[in-house]
Amino acid sequence: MKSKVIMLVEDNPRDEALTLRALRKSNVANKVVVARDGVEALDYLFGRGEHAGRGAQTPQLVLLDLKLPRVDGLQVLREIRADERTRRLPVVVFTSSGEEEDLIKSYDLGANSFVRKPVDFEQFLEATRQLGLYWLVLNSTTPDA
Amino acid sequence: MSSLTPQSLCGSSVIASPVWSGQSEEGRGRLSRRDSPEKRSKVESTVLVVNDAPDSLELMRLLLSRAGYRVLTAFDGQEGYEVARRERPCLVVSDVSMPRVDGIELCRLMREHAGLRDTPVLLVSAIRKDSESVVEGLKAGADDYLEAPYAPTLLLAKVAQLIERVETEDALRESQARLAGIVESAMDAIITVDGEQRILLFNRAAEQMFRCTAADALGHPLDRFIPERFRAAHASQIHAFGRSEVSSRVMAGARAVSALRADGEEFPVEASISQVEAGGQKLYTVIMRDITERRRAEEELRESEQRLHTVIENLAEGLIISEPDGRLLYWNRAGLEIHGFSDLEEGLRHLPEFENIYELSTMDGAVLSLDDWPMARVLRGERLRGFDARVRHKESGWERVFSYNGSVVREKGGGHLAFLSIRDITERKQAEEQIRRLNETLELRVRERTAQLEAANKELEAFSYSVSHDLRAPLRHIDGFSRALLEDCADDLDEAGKGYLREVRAASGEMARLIEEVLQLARVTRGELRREEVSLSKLAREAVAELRKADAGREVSIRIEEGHTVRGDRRLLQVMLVNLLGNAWKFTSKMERAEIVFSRVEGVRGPVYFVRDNGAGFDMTYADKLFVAFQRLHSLDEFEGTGVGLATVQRVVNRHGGQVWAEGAVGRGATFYFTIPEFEGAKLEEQSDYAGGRQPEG
Repeated sequence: MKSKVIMLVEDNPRDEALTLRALRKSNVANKVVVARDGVEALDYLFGRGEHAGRGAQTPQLVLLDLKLPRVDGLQVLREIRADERTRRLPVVVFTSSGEEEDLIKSYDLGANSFVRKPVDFEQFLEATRQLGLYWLVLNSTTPDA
Repeated sequence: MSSLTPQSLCGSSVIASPVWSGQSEEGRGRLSRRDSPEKRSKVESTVLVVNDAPDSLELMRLLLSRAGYRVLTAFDGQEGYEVARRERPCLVVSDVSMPRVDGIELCRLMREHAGLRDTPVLLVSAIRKDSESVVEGLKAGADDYLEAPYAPTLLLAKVAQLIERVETEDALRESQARLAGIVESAMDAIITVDGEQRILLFNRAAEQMFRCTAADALGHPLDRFIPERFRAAHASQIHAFGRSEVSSRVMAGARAVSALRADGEEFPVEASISQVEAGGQKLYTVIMRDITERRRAEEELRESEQRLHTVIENLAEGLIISEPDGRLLYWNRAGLEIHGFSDLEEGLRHLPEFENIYELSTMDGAVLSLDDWPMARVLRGERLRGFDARVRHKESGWERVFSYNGSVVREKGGGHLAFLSIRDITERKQAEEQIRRLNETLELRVRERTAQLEAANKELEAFSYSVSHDLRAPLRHIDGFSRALLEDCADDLDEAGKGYLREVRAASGEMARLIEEVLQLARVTRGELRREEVSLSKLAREAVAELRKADAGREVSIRIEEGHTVRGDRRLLQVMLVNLLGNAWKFTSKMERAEIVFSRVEGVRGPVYFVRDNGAGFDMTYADKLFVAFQRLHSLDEFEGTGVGLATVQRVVNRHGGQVWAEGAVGRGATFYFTIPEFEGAKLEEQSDYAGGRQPEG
């Protein structure tokens, strides 16, 4: 049985705080694991580095920021899609960028969804809530993922 | 008379012929008053013998038949006259005394008959009996007589003589008729005068030339056709000519003589004169040709040559003409000037002499031997087209570049001349050299500029990317935490505190919008323009729908005209229309009956689209500031906004190669016009705008 963990890859603590609050407000009760950069996220997912020996841990959902220190979001996505274990892992690219190029690249690399973080908190909350409903409440991921 | 031959009649002496000179009263120079000789049978000579004595008749018939004549007979004058009228014999030999009509009466009858007037009659009479009658018969028109009894040889001699006379006269008449035809049909005027200068002959050409009928001219002095000032000289010349032994000569040599038409017009003629002596007096015949037309043609030719000469002398190109042996014949002014000669004498030399003055070389600097000089090549028959050479003056050292064209022109006489035209292209060559050098460096500079632009573009992209991420994140945080504070800690805040937090959120919202618009401006500037069929009407409808949804409380009358389609970038055109209609929406917000129209008019270079509103309008004085980013014509209290929207509109239109402008008045609405050209040239403008438009603004 897979864990009900949501992974948030976000280097900005304020965004992290606001996202966590939004998830809470959206009645998402899942445990949230936060990775501060791309390396940390990949280590967690593939049981490397700091997480060596703990084995691969597959979260329910990854909320992935694109602009990250060390290894950026697009590279993280590329590696998730390249590995057999995480190939079908739902990844929502979660960024404040409105750039078309980011959107196209994200979809090309296999992002399940692309959500631009709105500045308006209500929009942000709504987007988060919809994500929560779709991926967690309705639980529509592939059965054997 | 018997010595005259038709050949001699054609000579000059015929002019003096008594027959012809006697014609003058009849006018028009007609030579013959008799019937045409062609009517007469000429196969063999026919003789009609008329005699009432059968024996005499038979004897004469025999004699004449044996002599080879065709003989007709009649028994008296009456019958003789009838046979003669019918048969037209060459000669009538008639007895004098006959019953009914005698020989004398027959003579009279024949002389009165037009066809028989010239037929000779030989009367035969018994001398003792008829001597009176013979005299009477000769008076009546008989040509000769013979006394009976007569010797047959005498009869035959007389017959032969009379027939020969008839035949000679026929030939003469024929020749005269031919001459008359020639004179009449001649293109030249022919006038004959006597020693007193009275006109005896005036042909048809003379009538036309002098505008005077022959009837008017004949018998009058020639003076009327000679201009007064020449009359005396003319008379003395004619006299001198008359005294000379020369039979004909051309008048006034090669020079033309002046003549005077009956209407007073003077005109030039070419004339020749001939003289003959006839009947003891001198006759002069002048043959004249009107050379007015030829004179005019000569004059025109001279003028045309003069014009040509003027043109050649004023040509910017030099022109040199050479004899086949290399002797230079002619230089025009430009030719002398570009060679540094001050007068023609310096140029009129033999080609090899110029080798001491100039050195010619090819554009690559190879010195040309005299044989390879342009003029030498043309003299050898070569056709030169745009041969360029450097010409150096050996003494002073100046050097020019000349371009040569040349060919040989063959003249009528079989000789030929070499023509060489020369253009000084020194400046052009220098300019070409400069262009070549510039072109070499241009490519390098283009590469440098392109690299600079690419770098600038990268910077701009990085900048907008970082703005979109880095500037928006803190705003989102300010708003997010303010919201959290309001929601989670509402109990700890009084109303003033909540009010402040709402201001914080509003301010961050405004800044977010500003950033959003600046990013949009940057986005419409960057990136490839993808042209496709775009319905402006549809985009306008969608934009209006959005506006109505966001501001449901307003009543605005909006008319979007259907069917306006352009080729353009859908995304950019959408941004443009959202901005224009948003503007109109915003500035009509204070109107009771807001009206907005999107439509089109036909402009000079194609359709002009416009968005018109009846809102706040603007002062035309500031029309040029409308499209500058961050320029606002209204205070924020009146209308909120960032001042970036119209700059974005202009950028979009410019990228499509179009133009945008506005008309308006304060309080009376505004109209924004724009064009989206279809033409290919739009691409070029688009590119140039692309290059310049990527620089960040204000």
